[in-house]
Amino acid sequence: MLRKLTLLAVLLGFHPWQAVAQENAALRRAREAYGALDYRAAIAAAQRALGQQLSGGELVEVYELLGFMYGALDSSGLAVEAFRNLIILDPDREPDPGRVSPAITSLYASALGQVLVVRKVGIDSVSFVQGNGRVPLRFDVSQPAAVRVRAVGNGLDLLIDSLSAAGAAGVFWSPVLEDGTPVPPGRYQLVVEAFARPEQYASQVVVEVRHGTVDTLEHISSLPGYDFQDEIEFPGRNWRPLGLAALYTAVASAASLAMESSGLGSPPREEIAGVGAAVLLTGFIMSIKKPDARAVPANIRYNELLREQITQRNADIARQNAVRRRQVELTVVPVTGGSR
Amino acid sequence: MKRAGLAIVAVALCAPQGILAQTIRFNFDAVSLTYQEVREGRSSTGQGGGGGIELRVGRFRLDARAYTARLEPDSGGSEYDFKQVDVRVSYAVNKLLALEVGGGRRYVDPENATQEVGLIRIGVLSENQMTRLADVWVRGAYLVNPRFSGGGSADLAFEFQLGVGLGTANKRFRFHAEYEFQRIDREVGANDVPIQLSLARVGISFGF
Repeated sequence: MLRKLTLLAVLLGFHPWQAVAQENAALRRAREAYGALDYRAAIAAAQRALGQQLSGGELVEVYELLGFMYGALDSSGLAVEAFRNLIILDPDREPDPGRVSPAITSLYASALGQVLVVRKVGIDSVSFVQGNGRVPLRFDVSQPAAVRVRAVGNGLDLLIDSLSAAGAAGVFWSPVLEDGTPVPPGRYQLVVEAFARPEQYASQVVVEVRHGTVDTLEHISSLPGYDFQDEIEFPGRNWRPLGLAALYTAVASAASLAMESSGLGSPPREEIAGVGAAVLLTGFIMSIKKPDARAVPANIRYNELLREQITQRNADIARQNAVRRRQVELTVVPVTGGSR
Repeated sequence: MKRAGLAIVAVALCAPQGILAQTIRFNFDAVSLTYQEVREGRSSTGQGGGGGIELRVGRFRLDARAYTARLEPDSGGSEYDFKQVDVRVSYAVNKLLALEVGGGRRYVDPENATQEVGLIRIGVLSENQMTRLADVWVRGAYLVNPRFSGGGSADLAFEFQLGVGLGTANKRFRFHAEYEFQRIDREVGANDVPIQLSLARVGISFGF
């Protein structure tokens, strides 16, 4: 019976959530009776349905209903049998613990321990630069088994890993060839095979590998947190120029008065008065005009150091970009999953 | 006077290019002066023009100035030409103070109008930058053993100067105004025949 179901699952190639266009009447009656809690009528209708032509999805639903109903009627053996068939057909379909009783969940777990299946095979989309990342592949093995994981596609059959596993497990796939070059772009099947004599089971997920160019780094013109400082500053207005002018004029005037020759009388003072006025006027103008900008040596040195750092960083970025231009960015996305 | 002018031009033209590359400035001045001698009331006033060159190399500075003025005695009499050549070389001791030595020669035409004087000066110069555009300076000097065309000697002789300059930040163009005072206590025999000069100079200079 188990082998027949497995073969049927492969032949039908169904997906558990596949929609069915024409619903089987017996299955519909079984579902209605189950909803009305008339389990015996529901079981009879489900058994009738099994004798008819059913789609893969219908067959899964029939075994699930049978498992629930036998479980509700305390027919543990029959319930486990129904769940085993369900698991073989669709390993990823399991009762929702929030909607079914713990007794039924326990029966399902008991059935799961009696068959070898690989469930919940999957990956998340991942993107990385060649050599700097791996694809995490996760799966669940129902019994202790030897597991072999391969990547098949584009004429390649690459062994990813082999291990002994029971329950949730996972491996990492580095999608590169032996020489370090990335695998060609295209679709690959990541096949998880479990062996526990005399049984064996395989499940797979189809992924697509895409190649892309690696983004280069932009050159920088500033360092975060470090701003360029003003290299000049305008000091506040001061009266130093006028003070200097007054001081020098006073010295000259005093000297002129002190050194006059008494024998020649007082000399005319137009010259000292005129030039002294010019000196004072110049000092006054220089005092009230906007002060000259002056360099700030500390800031100039700081900016030089900052520019050196930026230049150094840009040189590093240029070197990194030269490497990045030779690299490939790999993107791996899941396409479909399945089992056999 | 011609010889002095030629000397100035020679300094300008013959200086090595490396020195010229420091600072060289040419001055053009208008002067107004009062010249007093012998006794109170004997003075002459007049105006004229002049020029000069200023050369700075490191801490050294060379000033060569010359002017000529037509003076008219206040008490009447004939006008005469008054010409003066001054050379000063200074060495900056620090930012504010420089030691200065130099010489000077005064010519008059006609020769007997007043005294012609030759002198050596030793003094100090204090120059202070008020801003990048303006500076102010004073200088004072003792005049060593001045010689006179009419003979005599002077135990006490000195001069001082007050000046201000205002120009462009690149120092190429500059206006300046200077006041210069000179006193020479000349004695001939037992007679005091002092000389006193008071001069104002305004002008423009071009630097390179």
